[in-house]
Amino acid sequence: MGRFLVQRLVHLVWVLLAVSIFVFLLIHLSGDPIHLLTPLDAKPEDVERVRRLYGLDQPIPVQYLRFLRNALRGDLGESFRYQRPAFELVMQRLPATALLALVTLGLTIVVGIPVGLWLGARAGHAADWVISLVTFVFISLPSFWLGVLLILLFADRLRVLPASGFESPVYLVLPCLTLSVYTTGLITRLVRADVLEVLRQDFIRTARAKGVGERMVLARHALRNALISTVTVLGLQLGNLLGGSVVVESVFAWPGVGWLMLQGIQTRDLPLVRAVVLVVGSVFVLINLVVDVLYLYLDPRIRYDHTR
Amino acid sequence: MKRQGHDRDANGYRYTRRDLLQRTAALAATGVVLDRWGARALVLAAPGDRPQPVGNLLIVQGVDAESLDPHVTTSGASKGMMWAIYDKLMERSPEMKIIPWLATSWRVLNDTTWELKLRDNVFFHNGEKFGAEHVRDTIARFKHPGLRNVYAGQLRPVRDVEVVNPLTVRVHTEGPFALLAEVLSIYCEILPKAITGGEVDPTRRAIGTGPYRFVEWNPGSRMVLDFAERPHFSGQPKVRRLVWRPVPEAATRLVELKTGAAHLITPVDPIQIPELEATKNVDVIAFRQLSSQIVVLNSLKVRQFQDARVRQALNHATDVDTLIRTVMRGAAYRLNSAFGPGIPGHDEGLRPYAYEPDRARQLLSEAGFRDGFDVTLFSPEGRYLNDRLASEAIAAMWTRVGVRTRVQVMDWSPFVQGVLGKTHDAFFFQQVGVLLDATVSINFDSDRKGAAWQGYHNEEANRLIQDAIKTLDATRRNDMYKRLNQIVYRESPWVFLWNQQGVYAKQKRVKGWTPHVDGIIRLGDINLG
Repeated sequence: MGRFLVQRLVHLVWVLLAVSIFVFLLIHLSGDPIHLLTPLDAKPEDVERVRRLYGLDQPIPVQYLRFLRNALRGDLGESFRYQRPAFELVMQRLPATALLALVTLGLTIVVGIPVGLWLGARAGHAADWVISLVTFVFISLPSFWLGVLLILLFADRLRVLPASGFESPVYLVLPCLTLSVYTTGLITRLVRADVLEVLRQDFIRTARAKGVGERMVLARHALRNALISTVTVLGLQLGNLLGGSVVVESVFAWPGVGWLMLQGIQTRDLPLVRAVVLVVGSVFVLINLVVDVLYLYLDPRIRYDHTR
Repeated sequence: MKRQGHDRDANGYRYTRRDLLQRTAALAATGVVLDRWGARALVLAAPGDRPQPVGNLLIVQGVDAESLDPHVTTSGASKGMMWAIYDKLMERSPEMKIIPWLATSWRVLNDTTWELKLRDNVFFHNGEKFGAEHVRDTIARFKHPGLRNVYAGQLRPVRDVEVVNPLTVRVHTEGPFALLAEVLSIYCEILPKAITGGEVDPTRRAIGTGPYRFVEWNPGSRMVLDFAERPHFSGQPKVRRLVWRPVPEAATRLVELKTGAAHLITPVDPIQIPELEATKNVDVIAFRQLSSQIVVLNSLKVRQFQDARVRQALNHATDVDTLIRTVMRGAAYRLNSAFGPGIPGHDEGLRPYAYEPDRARQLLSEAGFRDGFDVTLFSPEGRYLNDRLASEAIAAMWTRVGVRTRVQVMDWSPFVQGVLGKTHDAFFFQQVGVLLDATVSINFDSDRKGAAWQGYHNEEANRLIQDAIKTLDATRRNDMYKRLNQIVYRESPWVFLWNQQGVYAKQKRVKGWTPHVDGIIRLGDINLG
């Protein structure tokens, strides 16, 4: 187990290195960043002077090595746009995104798993058919459209919820709803399919034969076996959510990392984009690690240490 | 229906102990009140004529400030916030006339010297008294090459600032610098010694002389300003607290206004105007923006564009009125020449080129291009309102008279590289006129070659532009620009299209506010009715 963790953490370093090179190249491939950082009516000599101040006059490999050297010292650079440390900006925004992600995940688990379980046990009934259709619609709705629709309904028409921003817990409702419609639809369908699959297996028949009650069969045997894939998907979803939903955060003006990243990309704010990607990338890799560890508890047959 | 229970509600004014104390003080004051910083300044407080500011005013824009440092920010959205906190030496009226601000008057002493008289009894929010040294130190900082100020070059002709007495400065320039007042009315917000001396980091804390003082900025979330206790020379603010929020999604901004969670929103998409006009408590304010939309013809790249008749032909081939009606949904104003209304040199008498495709064909054949030619029109996408659509429509119109035009849409950065490298055949472009005359005219000067200069050459135009910059007399300068405008109108190195419409929407109860044609918010007397 210990060796496994160390291996994975070393792996994290490689992932981050690869990601940082990738981001660097992508930003430079899309044109000279200085034109997005300076207005057109600035004089050419001012533009060139500022280019030097930003370090954008250096060859790209040199810029990258400089970044790497500073990053190893824990300095991710200063945002071009905000003139503040990029890491600080990301960390300021991370809590809002994390809150949104965790509440959405909670909602997904609380609704998606029981409903999926219930549907799995009732496969083929009218209720299963209707709810399956609904979940199918849920995962097909584009979030920018759903978000605006919810704003029009709850903020404009009914005037019961605020449209955007984040000042108190009420502000969580609409963005969470928008995000969790997709994740809940996904998890419900997944749990249903897995439960259906598991219920056909021999050990379930054995459990029923030895007289275990139906409720117990579902909770102890079916659910636990269905959870492996659910946990995998939940982990991936959490990773996505913590990366910040660019669309939902923009629609609801949610002060999170997704929107920050979008601003960074739009203005080619290189240090900012790099910092967001590195922080979010680390979070993503760490969540995957947690998911892998969770497998151990869900399925005792899984072992990491004596592979090969 | 009013939303309740949210801190941010438009009416959510809550009394704090400090308010009550202030109100009590205002009531009790019959003559002189000692101000917050002690005895350094005596403020005459007649409670009758200076009512306490009330309420929270919420402004929602599409983007946030870039930075708190006023010399580094460039966007109009940031400048609106900065100018609530900081003052410049001169300001602009809503129609862009230069008006006294921290400088009460100025005059030209000789070809290279301006004398500025400064306003007395102005204090920074940290208590410093504003004076000549602040002007000197601020200009020095503005020009400092180590600062990421992309407009530093605007004050490069300033050689040095001489402090004559605490309320007088002389600005010495390298050669005659006619645009000093123009530049100082847009750039160079005056900073306290706490900032120029390096004691306070201006990216963390803003300290100005403006009507509002800085409270907090949470990037991407909100900027909060409170009225400055010491009344501003332009009149004490009527609003107690200002909150600016960025909301990138246009539909969300609209709902924020309709539901009362915002008092003033910008920008407003033209398609949203009908819905807003149908809303009871909301006003839509449209104005003609200064910046002009044009197509620039590159005669360095396309040999045919060297002939003025070809350029006139393309002006005649472009049905601008139809474009405004269809592509722009009416949200634009026809431009008659390179110098739109509000820009020195504008000439109401010039008639816009009429849409006459036959005349266009005739001009082309007179120029020797009876069979037309091929050209590529470059366009950004999403940078200007309906840029791609307009470019495609223009290409179709030109093709109809024989100039076979292909549109190439580009990302902003490569597009700009092409503009600056002068490699596009022709491009759809917005000429931003912040500095008015200087920023427009440079595009016709084949010596200085501004961004929208793409090969045009006329000796008289060059001479006029270079003389105008040295002509300190504003009337004479204006006449020179008028003459320049006539030349450029006739020779049309651009296809003149339109001024875009700027749109704000506000709640009806917001009073005392006028938009400026440069699209930057000055709060003025803004209040909640």
